[in-house]
Amino acid sequence: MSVTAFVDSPVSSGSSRLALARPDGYVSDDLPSSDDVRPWNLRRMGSLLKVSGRWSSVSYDHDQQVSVDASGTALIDLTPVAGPPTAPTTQTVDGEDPPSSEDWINDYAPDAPSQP
Amino acid sequence: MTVLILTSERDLSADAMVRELRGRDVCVVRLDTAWFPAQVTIDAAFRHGSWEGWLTTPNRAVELEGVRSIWYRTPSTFQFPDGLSSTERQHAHNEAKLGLGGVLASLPALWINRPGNAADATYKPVQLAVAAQCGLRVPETLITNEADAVRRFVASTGEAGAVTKMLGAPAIMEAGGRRVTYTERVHACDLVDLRGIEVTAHQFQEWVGPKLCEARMVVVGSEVFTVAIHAQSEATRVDWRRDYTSLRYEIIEPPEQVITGVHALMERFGLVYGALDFVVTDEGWTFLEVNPGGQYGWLEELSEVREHFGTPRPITSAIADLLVKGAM
Repeated sequence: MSVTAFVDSPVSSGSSRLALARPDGYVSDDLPSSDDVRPWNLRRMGSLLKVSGRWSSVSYDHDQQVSVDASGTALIDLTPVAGPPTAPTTQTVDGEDPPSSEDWINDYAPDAPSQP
Repeated sequence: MTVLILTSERDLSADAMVRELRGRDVCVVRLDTAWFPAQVTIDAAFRHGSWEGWLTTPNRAVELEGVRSIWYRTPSTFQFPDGLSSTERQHAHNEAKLGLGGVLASLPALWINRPGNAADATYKPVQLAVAAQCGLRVPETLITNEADAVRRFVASTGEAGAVTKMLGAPAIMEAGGRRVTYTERVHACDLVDLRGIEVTAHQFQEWVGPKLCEARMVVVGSEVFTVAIHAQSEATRVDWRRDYTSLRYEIIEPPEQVITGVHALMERFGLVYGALDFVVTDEGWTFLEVNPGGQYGWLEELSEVREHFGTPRPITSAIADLLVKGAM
């Protein structure tokens, strides 16, 4: 078996995998297919949420190893940090489970090369 | 000795962990795999039976032999230079994964969690089977791409009814935005038009109720933090993620046999950390799922949790204890 076979295998042990999240700021322009072919569970999904939020003014500080706002203040020094999360849109909260948090969708699915 | 944190730049729980470890005078290096190869380099050599060398980030260098533990949160996919063809990009991705990932995987360090174990545990059908084998109560579940099977299953649930939920991520990116879904009740009207069922696997479960509450259990090694989640609205009674503002929380003590089953499940999957969801009814606790990377940040910010454990970030602290110790 090729050492890379697990990459494309639909059923394989994850023992060789290093799952990675999709790129930050990833946006897809794919459009929904017709109801005849779109998976049933996707047909029941809610309306489209636009990606926006406070992260636009946030950057990563390599010295402190934390996220900081435009003034250089670490986000964890702001309160509340994680909750209670309220935003229904993406990238506005941290520390909660999906779907409202974009930060830690631990589904391992976007295990693919980044887009240029 | 170094604690290595693998995660994205935007991860406030990791920010808190950096602070926690620095407060303990522990050398901590945070790395997002998205920085590879532009901002991260690896220089690893296999000598005398183990890997040695350096991993270099924009501001720091990690001596591989000195890595005591690795906290595997949500590192982002590698970012390769513009101009690569898709074939070249795929090649670079695979080589990076097997090379960088392989060297890290070989280190004699504690992983929370080891990526392969976490990946194995993401298969929900496996979770249900293992949970049942570990003595936990699990809901009747159907995985199918047959419309008739859906109708048969829903009918078999009788008055209790059924729900449908994703097997994987409850969100997709499309049309320039994001769509999310929640656990939803399946009604007779939903069975009229089942087009698309045949396209892929779908999950249906019996409705577990009436609910006294739900519970989020966070397991960190031998420590267990369990919070009861009381839904205050009709929507959140089906899926509490629908409206966090309407939830009420309290610390709850799970039955001993549930704790025993959970520890057995964690051991079977080789997980050091896990976030588990349960439904609590008069008949007991029913396991729904375990997320090897489930969030806990919003829970430990609850005043109920802080006051109960007498510390500002009890879960961060518990994870830090293991990372510093480098062993279970």
